Amino acid sequence: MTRLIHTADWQIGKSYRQVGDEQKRFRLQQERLSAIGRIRDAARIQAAQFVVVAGDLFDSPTPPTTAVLEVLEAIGEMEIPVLVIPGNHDHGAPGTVWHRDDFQRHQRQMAPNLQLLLERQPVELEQAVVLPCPLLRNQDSADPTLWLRGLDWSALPQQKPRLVLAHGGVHGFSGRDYSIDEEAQAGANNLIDLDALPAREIDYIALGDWHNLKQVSECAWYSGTPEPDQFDQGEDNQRGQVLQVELERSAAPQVQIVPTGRIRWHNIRFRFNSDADLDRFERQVEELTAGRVARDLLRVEVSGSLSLAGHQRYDQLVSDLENRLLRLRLKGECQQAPEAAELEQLTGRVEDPLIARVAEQLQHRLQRDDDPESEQAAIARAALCELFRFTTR
Amino acid sequence: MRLLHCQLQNVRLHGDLSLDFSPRITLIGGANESGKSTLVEALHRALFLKASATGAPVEALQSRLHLGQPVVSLAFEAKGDTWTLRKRFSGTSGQVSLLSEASGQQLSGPVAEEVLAELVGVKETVGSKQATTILPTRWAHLWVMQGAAGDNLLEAGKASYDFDALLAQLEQSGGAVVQQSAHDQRVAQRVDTALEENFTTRGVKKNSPLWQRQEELENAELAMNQALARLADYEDASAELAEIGEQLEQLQGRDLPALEERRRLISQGAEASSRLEAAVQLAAQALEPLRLRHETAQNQLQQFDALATELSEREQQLQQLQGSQQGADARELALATTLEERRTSRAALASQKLTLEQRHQLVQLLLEHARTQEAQQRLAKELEQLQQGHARRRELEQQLAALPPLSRADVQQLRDLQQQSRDARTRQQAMAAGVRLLRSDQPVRINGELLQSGDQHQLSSTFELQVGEGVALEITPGGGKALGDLESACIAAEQSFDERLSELAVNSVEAAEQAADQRSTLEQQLSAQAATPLSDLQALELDQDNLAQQLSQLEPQLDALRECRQLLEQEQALPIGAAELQTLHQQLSQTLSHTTAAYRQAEVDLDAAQAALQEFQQARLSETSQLQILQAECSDRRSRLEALQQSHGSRDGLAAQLTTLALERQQAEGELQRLQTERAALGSGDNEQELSALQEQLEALQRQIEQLIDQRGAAKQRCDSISNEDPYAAAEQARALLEAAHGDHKSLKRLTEAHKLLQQLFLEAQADLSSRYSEPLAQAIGSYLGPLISDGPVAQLNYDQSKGFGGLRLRRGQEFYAFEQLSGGMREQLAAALRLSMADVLKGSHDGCLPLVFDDAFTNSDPERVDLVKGMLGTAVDRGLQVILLTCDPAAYGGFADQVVELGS
Repeated sequence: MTRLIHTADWQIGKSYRQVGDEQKRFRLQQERLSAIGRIRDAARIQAAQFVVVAGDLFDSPTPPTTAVLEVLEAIGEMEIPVLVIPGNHDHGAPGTVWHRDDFQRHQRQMAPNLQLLLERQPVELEQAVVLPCPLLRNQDSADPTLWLRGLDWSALPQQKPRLVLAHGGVHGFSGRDYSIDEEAQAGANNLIDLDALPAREIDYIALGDWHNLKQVSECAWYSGTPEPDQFDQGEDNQRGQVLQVELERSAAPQVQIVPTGRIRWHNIRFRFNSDADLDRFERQVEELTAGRVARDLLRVEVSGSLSLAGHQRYDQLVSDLENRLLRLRLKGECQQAPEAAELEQLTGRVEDPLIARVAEQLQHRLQRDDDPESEQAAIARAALCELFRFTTR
Repeated sequence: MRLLHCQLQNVRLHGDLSLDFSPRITLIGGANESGKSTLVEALHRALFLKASATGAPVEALQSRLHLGQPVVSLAFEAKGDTWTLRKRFSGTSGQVSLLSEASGQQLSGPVAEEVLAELVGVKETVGSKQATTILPTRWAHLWVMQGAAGDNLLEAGKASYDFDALLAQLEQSGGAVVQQSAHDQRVAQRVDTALEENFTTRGVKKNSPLWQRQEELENAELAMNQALARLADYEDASAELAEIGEQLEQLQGRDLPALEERRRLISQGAEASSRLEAAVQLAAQALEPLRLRHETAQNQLQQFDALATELSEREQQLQQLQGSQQGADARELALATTLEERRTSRAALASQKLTLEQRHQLVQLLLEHARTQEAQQRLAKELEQLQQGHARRRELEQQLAALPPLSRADVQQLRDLQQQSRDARTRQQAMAAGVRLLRSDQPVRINGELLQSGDQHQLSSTFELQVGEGVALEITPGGGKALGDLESACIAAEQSFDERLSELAVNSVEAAEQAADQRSTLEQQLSAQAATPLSDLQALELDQDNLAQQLSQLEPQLDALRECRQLLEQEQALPIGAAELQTLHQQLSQTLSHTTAAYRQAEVDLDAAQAALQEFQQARLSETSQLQILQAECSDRRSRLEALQQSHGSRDGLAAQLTTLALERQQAEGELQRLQTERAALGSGDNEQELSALQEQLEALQRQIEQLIDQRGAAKQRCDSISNEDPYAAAEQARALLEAAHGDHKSLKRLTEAHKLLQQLFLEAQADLSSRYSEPLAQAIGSYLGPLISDGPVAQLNYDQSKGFGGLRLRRGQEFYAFEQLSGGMREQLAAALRLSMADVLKGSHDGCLPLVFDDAFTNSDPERVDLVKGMLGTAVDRGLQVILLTCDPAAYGGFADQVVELGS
């Protein structure tokens, strides 16, 4: 029996430039490297014979040298063979990291157990036959498993289980649909047609690219990324794990999920209807991130509006969360608009007829505006807030 | 406040001037230097200058003509009372007294001045110190001093038009007190300050926060574009690198080794080439006899096989022919027999056909005969009928001739005549006298005719009645002379009736009727009897003759066929009737046509049988000759085969030999081929040339490879250098920065927009507030100048809390013009309208009246405009104001004023 660890999409070198704080950015980057250590541990505990990385080990084809060195060091520590194919992020075209002298030199020294598979030909290991489908070009539209269709299967060892290692979306499931997250890159087009592969000749297909766990056929799995790097994309997204796979020739694979993720990426929606919702918001965030410091990223789609006082508290809250969380990303806008009492402070100023009148005008404008989300309405609200500030300070 | 009366004593040229003011319009006329302006100045000083004042204003009042200090007395109504003010301007010793009519109390000194100030609505009466500065502003909005009529009152500032009082009155009339507060102003100022932080009048202020964010955004966009361009550079370089790699692999891995292998072969093979050449020639020579032998054997075998095939074909044909010859005699006989049979059958059919034809003719003749006869009979009958008809007609015609010629009309005429006669008689009898002899013992006669007892007579004419001999009476029946007329009418009617009867040769009407009936019956019968012309009859007789002739013609023909007829009659009884004959004829026709058809078929069959026989006989002849040929050919082939076998042995032997030869030849050819290929691989004969060409190619390839390696190096360097910058991360960072810059810019931009909005709204609100003050005034001005300007707003005014009113503008046509832009006359009129309007507003705190003084205030107004001025002033007094008009040309205002004072007279 062959036992291996299937992982993918390490995306080492991901810069997290959207995270303003340098330390937090470093933390996030570092956590991706630490995840390799956890994979190493999982491989030892499970007594895996080798590890396959199904593409996107690096976040770009040109990762910084320090990141390369750190990766090589971590892989070297695994001591068992680590088979790697380039994915769409770190494709194997000439001039990319894989062909760089420093990588090749350091790899020989630091991670001799790393087997970079840049050629589409069977690789025979002691325990299995690996059929690598590397992505060798940027924006390669061809199915990377195309070469397998013409393969002489009878020439392969008959007793060893066969494993296809590939990166990309599959027909019927376009994995790279990160529409919810504007930080995702444009989808590539190297779709894999699993149905075109001879099912009986293959025992397992280790897929990369989709960052969530997903079984797409009886023997084809996306392992997902070992350390989440994006905000949640829905209910059914399991990230932060590797797969421990047991293979035998002509037998269904035995797959177990081994958790490896540390950082939590949350994605919520929140609408402020009144100042009272601030407490609710605070509670909800607390529930999500309770007991952890600097290990959570939170994306909130905010909408609605708060009073001027409420908005001040909201600003404070946002500022606190920005400190406490690795990242707080706010989508949309929580409008501020004077509530009735605040408005009354302006419109009810008998002694200051001009202020009262201007406030009334602004209030009318807001009531007249059909679309409260329009820029006109936003300007009117801002004007009202400024008037409040100028008047009451 | 209203002026009632004044008295000037010792004031410049006025020694003692008293005059009353009309409560409405007082016109004070006088030539130049007649003291009009002196009067106005004196009144003004009395109201506003302290009596104890010194200096120029007071000195100006002093008279050089009259002794004594200037004294001005003024009676006026104010604050519900009537007051008499008296001021003696004698410097510091000047005196003032103010007498209240209601209370009778007389005030003097400072108290009087204070009360006076209150009455005229000023803070205080002006002392010497302020005389030059403040005095001219007092009631400047009500009183126009000479020469100041075209000045813009508002330019002189708030003080010159009692701004505070005006405001107070306007606020009172406008309702709630609305005025921007200090805080309002502060906030508006903050808005302005906030905007000034980012904007100058020309746009965004350099180095301001907004400017900085714009710069940041632009820089971020630039950086983003640069990063993307760098990334594209990297991707291009990477693609180029990949392509160069592939080219190199092609050149180094395939093209170069192939060329080198070829060179190796060529250089090695120069010697082998000649050796091979010889071997090729040798092999070719060895191949030639083999090829000949093989081809010969091939030919022989082919001959062999061809002969054998021909022989077997011919033997087969021979066999077939012989088979067919065997039954030929029998078949010929059968054909001849058939021919004979056909001939007999045709003869039988021919005789049958002849008989039928004769019979057919016979029956046809018979039919014709019978038909002719039938026609003859029919004709005879017809003729008879015709003749009968003729006879009957003649008879009827005779009968008709015997009857009197009477028509129905004649009968009717007769009847009418009889009726006329009868009518005449009846009328006569109605008038007749009736005489009846009952008994007599004497003969009684009427007109001589003896009456018997019981006789009765009706007498219609005068008659004589004799009784006995002795009595004779002439009796005239009633009617007199008419009786005679009737009698003659009766006779005439009877006469014409009888005449008509005799004319018609009848006895009575009844006889006439009968005769007429008979006549019409006969006429009907006659017309029923169709008239047949005689020509028809003759034609019929002619036809009959023809038929008889036809019959006689048929007889000889029938005689000719007598024999046939007898035969036929033996077979069947011949019918006589045409119809039956017709049927028989048809039957015969049918039978004849059948028989004719059968006969024709028999002829065709006969011909066919004859042709078949002939054909058969010919074929038989040809077969016999063919048979002979085939037999000859067969023996020829056999002998040739035998000859072949004798010379080459059996066919099998030959075939085996051929196989061996073929194999040998194939081997030899294979060898030759191999040798030739080997030789070709060694290149053309000219090795030297080829080698040098190859060398050139190799060098070119090497150069290309070197060039590509250089290119690869450059591309790799480019790749690596960009790669070191991590262009992907750089692009991501640029994107993040751009997004942040976008957000920052947007939020600040929105804030500045908000400030702009606030500023705009504050300005609008301020304008709105000011219009609450300026609008009533502008409208009042409009009401005075209305006649001058067609509908729409007439004047505009600004209001500013600190500066007061300003910006007075008047509409001319569609445009508004500033006061200064107007003509002198128009300025005077507009200023007057403004003063009247202000007085309108202010009068509220002065018992509804204020006095306005116009000293030569309309000198620039032309005569037409003077009417407008009059209208304005009329309106003003109607509204309660008092107007005092001083002019050197009082005639222009003739009859307009309520009170006219002429100075200097």
